[in-house]
Amino acid sequence: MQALSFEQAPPPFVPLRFFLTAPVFLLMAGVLLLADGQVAMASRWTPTALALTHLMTAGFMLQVMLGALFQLMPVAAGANLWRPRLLAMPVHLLSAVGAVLLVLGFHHQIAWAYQGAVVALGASVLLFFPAAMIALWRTPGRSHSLVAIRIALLALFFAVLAGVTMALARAGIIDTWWLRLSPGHVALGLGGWGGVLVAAAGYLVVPMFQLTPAYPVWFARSFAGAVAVAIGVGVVVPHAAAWLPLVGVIALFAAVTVDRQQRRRRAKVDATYHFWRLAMGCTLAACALAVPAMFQWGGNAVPIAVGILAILGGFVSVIAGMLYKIVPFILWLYLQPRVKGVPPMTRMLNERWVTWHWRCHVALVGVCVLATVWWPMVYPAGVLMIACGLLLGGQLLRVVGHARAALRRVQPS
Amino acid sequence: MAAHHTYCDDVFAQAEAAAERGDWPACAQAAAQFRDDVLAHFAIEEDAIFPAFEAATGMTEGPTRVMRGEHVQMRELMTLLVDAASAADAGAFSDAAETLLILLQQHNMKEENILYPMCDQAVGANPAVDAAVDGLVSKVPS
Repeated sequence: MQALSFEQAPPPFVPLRFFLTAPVFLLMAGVLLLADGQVAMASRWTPTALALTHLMTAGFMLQVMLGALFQLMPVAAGANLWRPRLLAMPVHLLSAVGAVLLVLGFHHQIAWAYQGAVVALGASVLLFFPAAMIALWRTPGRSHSLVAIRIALLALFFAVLAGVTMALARAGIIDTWWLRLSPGHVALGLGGWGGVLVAAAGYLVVPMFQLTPAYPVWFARSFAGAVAVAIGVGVVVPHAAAWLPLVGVIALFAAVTVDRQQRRRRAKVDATYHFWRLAMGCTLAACALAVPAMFQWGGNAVPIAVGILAILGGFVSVIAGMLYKIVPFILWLYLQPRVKGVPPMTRMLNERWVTWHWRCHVALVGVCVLATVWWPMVYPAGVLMIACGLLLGGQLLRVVGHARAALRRVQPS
Repeated sequence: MAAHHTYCDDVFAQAEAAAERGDWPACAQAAAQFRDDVLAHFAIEEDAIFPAFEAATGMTEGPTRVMRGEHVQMRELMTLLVDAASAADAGAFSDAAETLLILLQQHNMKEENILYPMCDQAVGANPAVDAAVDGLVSKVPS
């Protein structure tokens, strides 16, 4: 039997460096909406729309998801990454810099920015992907989340591969024919990587945070594989309807999650619960609107609304809700054996400001959807996006500040 | 043992629901019941399952040591929870409950996903362990 120690979960600053960087991308997205939002609402293919999308996906989402994997893999799956502290630094810096360069490339159509993004994001994934796969291969753990994480990582690899190829095409290095990889890139990035990773985490945290029944075994066993097959169908079959199975499978995940939450045993509801509920509602709405979008019914506004609902309403909501639980907890867990009188994790956050973030976020999603049909709404959207970035970042920094203060009490300088 | 985790979760949820509606006598009773059930669970693990696992695998500094450490953390939080319920202190109860719930759930997750399958493999046929687990599970109301 392979030796296993749960203690190989990394110290908190490993995931935190990713988590604390993520809100900066919300701030950048807010500024871009204020400066150039009107263009973004004209079509999903405008430079501004592509830049905004990748501030959310390659910026905010990728930062948090990579950081979460550093924490989740050892704790939930017994998959210990090799030298996580050493690995985290280049993965973090390269992914963050790569995302900024990519956005710069999209917005200003600069070839060197695309090339820089290819190098940085590509190197980040080439460092993380093999290390993660080796850890997942060697773990003695067995769970549905483990299988889902493996599939999510494969999807990340292929999503980045397709993205890198298209970036090279945009930089004029290879033929623009390669831009046809776009539907597969979107499906791999949002469905295969983002969706399956949220599911892998959801199998664990939805029952954990709200004491819901576990996800049905048939669902947890087959969801990640079904997403992989559905993406394969969409890529191989040259018809818009070939993406319907993927949309259906993702909608099923949201519906099963809502059903779990309806049967929660906890009487108490908190911001994390509200963020998850919003995320699942937005995901279902995005899936419903994706059908007219894939058949190009309803004009340019529909695919933009799908993107807003899926990315901002779905992924960003889930991530914000999770960060408010996970960041205080990992710091509490780190401090508790080291410091006497550690503040309770609930006191590390300011509940009132968290509630304000929740309100701003709901308003942000609504205003962004409205902006697809009436572009002047990009201005309140930009302001709200900046407010959300400040509120989330401010609360995360507050938690870290509490932890630092507690450590200083036992390690006086 | 996983079924007993679920049972303990139910008792925790009863305590928290009572606190939410301000029924502090019911909350104190459920919190004490929860603490007693969890302590009985820890006792089976620490006295029967973990020693058998360590003897069978030679792993004394691995997962069982971490689990014992988390048991210590949870014992402290359960004391705070029961004290807060007895004092009808909503703020202190919420503080203890929130941290305890996540600590307990992630602890159960590691046991159910990783440690219990390893124990099944290593000590699944140990009659002393079987008897101890059966004794605990038989107390769970059906």
